[in-house]
Amino acid sequence: MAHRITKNVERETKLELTVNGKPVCAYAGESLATVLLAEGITIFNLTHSGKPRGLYCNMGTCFECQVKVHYLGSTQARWRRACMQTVQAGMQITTGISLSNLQSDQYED
Amino acid sequence: MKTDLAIIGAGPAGMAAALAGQECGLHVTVIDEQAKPGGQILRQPPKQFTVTGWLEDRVYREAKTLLNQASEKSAIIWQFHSAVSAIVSPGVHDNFTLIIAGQNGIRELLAKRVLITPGCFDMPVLFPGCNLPGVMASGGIQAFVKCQQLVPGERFLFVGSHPLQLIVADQIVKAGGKVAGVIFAQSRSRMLALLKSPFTVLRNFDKFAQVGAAIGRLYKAGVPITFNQTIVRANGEDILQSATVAPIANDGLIQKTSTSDIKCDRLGICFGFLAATELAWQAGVECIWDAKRGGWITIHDEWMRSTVPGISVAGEITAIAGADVAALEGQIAAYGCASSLGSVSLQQVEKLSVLPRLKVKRLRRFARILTELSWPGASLLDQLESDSVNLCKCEEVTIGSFFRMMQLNPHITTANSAKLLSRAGMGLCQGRYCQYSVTRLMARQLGVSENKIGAFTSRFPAKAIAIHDLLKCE
Repeated sequence: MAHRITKNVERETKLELTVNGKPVCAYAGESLATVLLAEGITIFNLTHSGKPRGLYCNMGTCFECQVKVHYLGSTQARWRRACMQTVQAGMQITTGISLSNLQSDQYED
Repeated sequence: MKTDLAIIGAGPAGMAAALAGQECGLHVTVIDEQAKPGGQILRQPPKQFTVTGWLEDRVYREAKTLLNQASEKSAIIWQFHSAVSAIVSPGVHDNFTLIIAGQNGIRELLAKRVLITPGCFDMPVLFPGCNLPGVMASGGIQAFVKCQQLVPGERFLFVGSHPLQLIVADQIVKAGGKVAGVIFAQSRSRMLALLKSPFTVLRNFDKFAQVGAAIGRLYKAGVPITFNQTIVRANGEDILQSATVAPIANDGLIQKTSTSDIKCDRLGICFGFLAATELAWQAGVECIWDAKRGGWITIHDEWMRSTVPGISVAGEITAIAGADVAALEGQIAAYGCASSLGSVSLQQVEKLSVLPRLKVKRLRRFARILTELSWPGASLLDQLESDSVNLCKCEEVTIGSFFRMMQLNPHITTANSAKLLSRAGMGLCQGRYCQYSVTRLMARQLGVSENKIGAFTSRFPAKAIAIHDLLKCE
């Protein structure tokens, strides 16, 4: 499993968000990819044919790391590249969803 | 918004160009998708982190100096978290229009000159299991350590042909990760050929010292470094559990009967880099094929001007050569733009570029040797291909089905027509991860040059964007 480097690194604020419904703590400035890997999640989404995929390039070019993100105060979840998106308090992240799933999940405000 | 010089990419080329352009009196705007300047070589930790002793190796010193200088220049306009979706050539107006996708929607930027410095990305290599979660680009692994301060796995294995994997493996060990091995496809003597010329070694001493020190530390940590070996398969039901490797005989053939399995939960792929030319293509810039130096790379003149008047290019898209060359090219490109806009005289910029030009020439020589020696070779790439492997990972077009498409349709002779019929290159990555293989494979099958096969047509938006975001204006 992945782990955060603690030697010579100071992280500031802790944020709370949920990953697949489970409450998770993250640090301000972290990417979603970092949080997911630190939580032991390797499968980020499923392809159209249902094959599992995880992140590959970690620089925004491969689009393999897409996860569904619901932002606090929004009514819809969005597909986002986990490597390019920074964590925000109150985010709800869902992994392992099929990329064919275009239905927009409704959230309460 | 309006600017004299719009620079796309805040890596070494973009930063050096911004400084040089600003010194010449230009209004400069730099656009980058990341949160901070530095590019991939200096992927900075987030501002909320305090990291002591960040990238202390000598090899990063020059780039870090450049980063500090550029960051301190208040006259440079930075636009982060922003991806250029298209460069629209001037019609009746004098300016280019850049369509930029930001965090809150779309916006425009008018620019008199455009400099494209998008850098490169890890070259994808096709082998069974290459799409399995856990298989990653070595550059991506390295970015986690540099920027996010994360060791993105437990037990790493690095496979490839580029010396960068030694640096990444060393950084992982230093950060407390376990490395099961670093595997090179070439022979040891081929890699040592780099040391043949004492001039090359002396002139690039920092780079050799960095690799040498990394080898020393890996050796001390008990990490095996092997040669004449290659990945043949990544194994695991849903996620990576092990990698199967095989020796390569002297004739270059993979010995598929004497394989061995190595347990790992992260497999780093390190076969070199591809130039990120899609925006250049979109803007109409002419490119040529160079398999060893980035795939499709841009053409330019002595002032780094592309084939489209008003658009310049610098850094890895002109041929993979590393951060030092990129920075110098960025500087020269900015001088070219400044003189064409009349903010400085041609004589002045000619004087200013004498030294950078000399340095580029010298460094390019080393870069050429390095790319030559670190290219895996067509034979290895061909042998790793297998019918059931995805050629296009996004649309899940297998190599086998692509071959069948070609057999049934002999009139399909360009990458573009193959894309229309097979869907290879139509997915979210927009062909970035299959273009190299599609081009190589078609050229081989049809017995023509890669330049004949051509590239995929690149259109707005150069990077996928959700319709929801497209409809919003910033």
